[in-house]
Amino acid sequence: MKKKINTNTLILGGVSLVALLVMYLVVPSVSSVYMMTVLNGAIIFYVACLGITVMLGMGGMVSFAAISFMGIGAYASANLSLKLGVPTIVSMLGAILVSMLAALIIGAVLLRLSGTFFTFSTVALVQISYSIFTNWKEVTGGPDGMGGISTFEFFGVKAVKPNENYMVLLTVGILCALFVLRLKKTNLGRALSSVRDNEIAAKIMGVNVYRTKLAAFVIAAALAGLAGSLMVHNHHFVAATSFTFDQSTTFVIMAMLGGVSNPFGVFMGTVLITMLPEWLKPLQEYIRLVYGLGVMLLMVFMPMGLWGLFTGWVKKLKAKFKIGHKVMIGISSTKEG
Amino acid sequence: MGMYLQLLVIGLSMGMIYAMIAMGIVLLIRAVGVLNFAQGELFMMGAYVTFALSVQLSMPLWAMLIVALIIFCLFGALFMFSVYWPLRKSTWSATIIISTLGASTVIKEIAKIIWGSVPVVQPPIIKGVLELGTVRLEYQYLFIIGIGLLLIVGTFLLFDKLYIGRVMQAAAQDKYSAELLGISTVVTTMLTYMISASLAGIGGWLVSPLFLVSTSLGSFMLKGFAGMVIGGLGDVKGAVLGSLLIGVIESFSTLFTTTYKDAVVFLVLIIVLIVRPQGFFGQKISEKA
Repeated sequence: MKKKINTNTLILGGVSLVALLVMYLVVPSVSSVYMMTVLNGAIIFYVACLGITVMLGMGGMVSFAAISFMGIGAYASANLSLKLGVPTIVSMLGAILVSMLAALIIGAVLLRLSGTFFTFSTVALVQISYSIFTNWKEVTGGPDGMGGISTFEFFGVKAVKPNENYMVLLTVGILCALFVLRLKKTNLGRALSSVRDNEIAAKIMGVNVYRTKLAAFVIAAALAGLAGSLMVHNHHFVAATSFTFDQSTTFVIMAMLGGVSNPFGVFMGTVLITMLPEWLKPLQEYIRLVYGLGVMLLMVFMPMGLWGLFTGWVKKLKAKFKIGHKVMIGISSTKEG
Repeated sequence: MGMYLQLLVIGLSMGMIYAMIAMGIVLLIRAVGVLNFAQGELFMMGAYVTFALSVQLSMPLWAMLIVALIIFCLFGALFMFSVYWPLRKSTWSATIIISTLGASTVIKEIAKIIWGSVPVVQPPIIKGVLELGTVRLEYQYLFIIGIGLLLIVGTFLLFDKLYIGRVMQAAAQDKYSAELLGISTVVTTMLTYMISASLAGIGGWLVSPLFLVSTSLGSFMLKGFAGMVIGGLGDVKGAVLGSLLIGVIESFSTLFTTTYKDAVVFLVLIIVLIVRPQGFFGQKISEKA
């Protein structure tokens, strides 16, 4: 039987192909070196923010723990490559493993709490991890940090310039985004969404709520740990000052701005927030004030973020031109991105 | 012996400060179900406002207190109408939490623009040190305990004995029925925000002579949170006792370590969460369907 190709898939495929070409070929050749470093930073944050997509967008849990696991991953990577001199790929995998292990232990405790109290316990976690990162000098280098970490090197090919780092980071970022997109369609992803929408109903359907949440927490931590590892290899330097509570809230805001449940939306949010200080330079000391006000207004006017706005328009356009018209049964969920 | 007494008094007074923050947060959680991440910034604003009134405008103590209280109340109302009110019908609780995070940035930046980022010094209510044998205590610590106790007991009486307090409790427990009974929930919510902001503000005023007045005062909120969680889910009494416990633990932990002081506090919190996830005073009630 011949499978009919959906017009939607065709359009989506074409658009993403063009976007990929632009990202890989056009962006590096037109941007300045400075812009590339800024973009590299944005992609690193993006990987960590994908963890928030899993936790908040799919699981409905507000967690600030990303920064702790990013730190754990970063220091794991730094120690592995500085003290043992392992290749980049091993150090990245090591960072993921270490942060997953830490998340498994920590998550097993924290996820006994629900809602607001879970959120707060992750805040406590961030404080503890920050204090450990600052004071455990043998492993973290304390406030002075650790320098001289090797750059990305795969099979003898070394990335030196920001352009080359960008290629590595972009590839990892896209792979992570695809992973999260795929995760949504798996058993775990669906179980997670059901837990978000109604925990009791999910329980009745036979979902192990605690284990599902724990799995999400560990996956988010793995993404954050990977981001930490990327950061270490990109900057060749790591210090405790990168892992503050403020940075963690920025992650959540980045994810919310873009539209938390969709990886593309999160990407837009991350790039926007990273670029904001560049664009708003004339405002000088008012930047943070404008940013805070922006966050408040954002929550009022578009809680589903840019992606939510975008899908809303697409829906309206489709309704206008009667493309892919479907009969909706019941109330359509606005939570799904 | 003297040192232990000194640590105990310092711990209790810091605990009082945390309790004032925690109480404000718990009141808001009970009334509107929102975890307010800007409570620490309201606390910081209290320190700055009293600094402006007493040092920059050189007002006498009584006038300063009255004006400051009015400002705190206005601030609470403003806070409610900008952060909570537009989002009250939002089905997603994360939006309000993020909004309070945004508000905390806004308040911090406003303070920075008005007073600059250099910390300023607030004089204590009465200068001097109490000396009892080997014990040396600044009077300010005793003031904190005294005023804190007064405020906390006052808030309890307000909610337990006074008509307005009962109205507020009714509105907090069931908004819909309260409105049926003719209670204006807008007013009760606003009052709750005012009380919460005032508690935080006075806390900021009390603690500012011991530390410098700076935007980093906002981080006190985290200890208040810790106290609240140890105390129990949304229980006011629990929040106060939990905060006092946090203060004492923090103070005594300096005997062993100064670098990991904060980590010890949060470690205790996590241990409590493992042993008793619902907190000391929380009841284990399963979620309503």
